[in-house]
Amino acid sequence: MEKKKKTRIPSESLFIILFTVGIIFLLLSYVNNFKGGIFGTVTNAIFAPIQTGIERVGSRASKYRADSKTIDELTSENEKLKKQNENLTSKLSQIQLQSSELENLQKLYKLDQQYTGYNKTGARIIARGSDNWFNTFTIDKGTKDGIRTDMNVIADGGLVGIVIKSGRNYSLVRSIIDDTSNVSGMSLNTGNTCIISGNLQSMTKSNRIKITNLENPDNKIKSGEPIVTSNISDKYLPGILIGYLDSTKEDSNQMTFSGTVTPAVDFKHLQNVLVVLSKKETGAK
Amino acid sequence: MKIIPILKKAVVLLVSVFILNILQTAVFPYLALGGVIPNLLLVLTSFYGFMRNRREGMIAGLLCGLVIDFSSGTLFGTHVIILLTIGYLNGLSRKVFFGDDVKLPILFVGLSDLLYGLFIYLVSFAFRQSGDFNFYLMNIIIPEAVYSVMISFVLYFIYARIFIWMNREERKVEHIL
Repeated sequence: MEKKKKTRIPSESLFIILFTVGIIFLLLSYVNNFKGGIFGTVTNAIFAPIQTGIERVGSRASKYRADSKTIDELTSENEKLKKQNENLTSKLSQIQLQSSELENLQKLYKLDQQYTGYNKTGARIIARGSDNWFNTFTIDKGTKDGIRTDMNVIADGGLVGIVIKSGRNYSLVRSIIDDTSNVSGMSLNTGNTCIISGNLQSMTKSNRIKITNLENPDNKIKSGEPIVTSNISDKYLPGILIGYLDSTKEDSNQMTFSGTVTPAVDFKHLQNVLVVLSKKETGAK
Repeated sequence: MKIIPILKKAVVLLVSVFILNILQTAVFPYLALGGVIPNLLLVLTSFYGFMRNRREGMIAGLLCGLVIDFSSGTLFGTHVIILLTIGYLNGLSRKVFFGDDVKLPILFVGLSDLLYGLFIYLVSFAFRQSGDFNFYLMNIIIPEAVYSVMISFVLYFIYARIFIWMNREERKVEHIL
């Protein structure tokens, strides 16, 4: 059998050839941000409608599971909710008091006009990344709905991630908890900048991501401080909530702090997201 | 004459990659165990290498790697390189360990997944993070390998049949020639 097919390239050479092609892909991707070009777009466009269909069925199934509760569960839940309601009403009055203060703050940071004024479009997550190492996902809207690379993705009022590639009917999003993600952030009240990096390890352990390079003179920034995207970031629009500061420790350089941040978005149960349809103008191009 | 069996094989491979990728990205996230999903495309590559041969293992690895790279945020080519290598190494091992035993292909799925985990860790994590290897080993690499091995028991019986059918088709062609 082997003798007959002598004209074929031997497996060893084929392996070396294909391996070299792989290395070329890596270099292209490193230099030129190559993402598979037209083949990638076509392949993903073929997968997207089926993934959408399965996601519909899947989310309906999980909703059905959530619906099928017993009466006992419902009554206990009802009681819990009543208690919660009381708590919330008392909290509400407190918050109403604080809201005037908040308004002033918002004006200070011009959040209201920047954050709520953007055009957004809703999208569903239809597929997760193929392996356990990276936190990317596919959404069911693409260029035909006006989504382009580098647009910001938000949900529940917090930052989810950024579009890294978009085809006609799908877009790939890298979430901020992905290990390769870095976002330039700042503390809402003091405006001190910092870097928020996704971290697989601390995300798996305790649902938190890392914060580094935080300037914190006189330890003014306490845990619970909201961290938002900074105005010096080149891809993220300013003033989008990333999460709340959890704990910090002084770095060995005694100038900056690093620690952990609890993301504002519940990434485990994320199904719908909003894509902000305007990109940050940096004047770069 | 020769082109038809190759075409049939290509269709089987493409359909397999298609279905397994859909399962991996859209279905298994609902079935994650401890936050980990199995690596079905790696199982496919390993089977093609170990139960068919080096060449088909490589081609399966190349296709699977491309499909993963298309939809992931890493440097394009990372998964191509590792899955290509896994397909090839599995094909090489076939020469050493030969037999129709169920245990061996599944053992090699496990080994392949460990290799895959090590590679991704080395390429994308070891240099950037303060490299707590133990954590990644216990929380991602080993659970993923275990889950993949579990799933590969099911896939083994499907692919054993498909490969028997392929062998038969190939022999038919040889008769004609």
